[in-house]
Amino acid sequence: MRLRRQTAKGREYELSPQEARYLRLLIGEFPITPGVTPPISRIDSGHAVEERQRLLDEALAEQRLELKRRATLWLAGEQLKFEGEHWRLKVNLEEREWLLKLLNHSRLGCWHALGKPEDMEQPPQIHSAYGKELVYHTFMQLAGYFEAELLREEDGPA
Amino acid sequence: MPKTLEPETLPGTSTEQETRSKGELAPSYYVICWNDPVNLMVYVTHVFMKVFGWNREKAQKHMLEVHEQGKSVLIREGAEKAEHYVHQLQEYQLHATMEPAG
Repeated sequence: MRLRRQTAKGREYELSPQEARYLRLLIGEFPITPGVTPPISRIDSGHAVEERQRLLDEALAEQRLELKRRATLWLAGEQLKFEGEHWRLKVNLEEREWLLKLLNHSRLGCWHALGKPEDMEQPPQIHSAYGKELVYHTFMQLAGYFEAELLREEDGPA
Repeated sequence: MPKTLEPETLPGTSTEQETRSKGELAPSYYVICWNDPVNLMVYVTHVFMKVFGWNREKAQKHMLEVHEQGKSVLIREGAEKAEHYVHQLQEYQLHATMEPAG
């Protein structure tokens, strides 16, 4: 994935066919795992906190639906288009934000599903009959890869 | 990001911003971001810049505080604003909480 053009309104990337396939897979499979909502407070308690937690849970559930809606539209659109040997990805600033949220939702969800490992480079322990852990591990790594690429120009060269 | 450090107490560090006026009785809250090993450092910096409108330097300072000390107090606000920021941060899947400022 290579940044090809950058303007004040958005960015244009060049993707290999493999990268394009994986990005479409990540977006198409969203949500890969159920959402994870951490507590709104670690030490505070009481009715007000319970109410705040309920509102947070609702807001995050709504956000998941909105991300799914955007993902469906994105897949039907032409933001990712084949051009000769490569794929061209166009994202404006607003699209980049929801893409980052979607990718990180998948990354965090897979990390939780794997039991929150400290070392994410290690291959996962396979416990399920169909090796679902390998899928989670792969999706987690892929989501991180695309997040880093979408933010690369902000962080400078790798 | 390194291992998650479980908090034992509320941070006693000074906050970046205090919007309450003296004598105001409404309780205030710290918005805290906790460390985890999964969110990318560049991503955390980006989120702080977006949510708080901070420049890169300030966002990176807080990101490194999360990374090295296990948590960072991002801001001190009244309940409504603190809740708003926690929602924003959690929509990006950062582990953020609001804790009473005492």
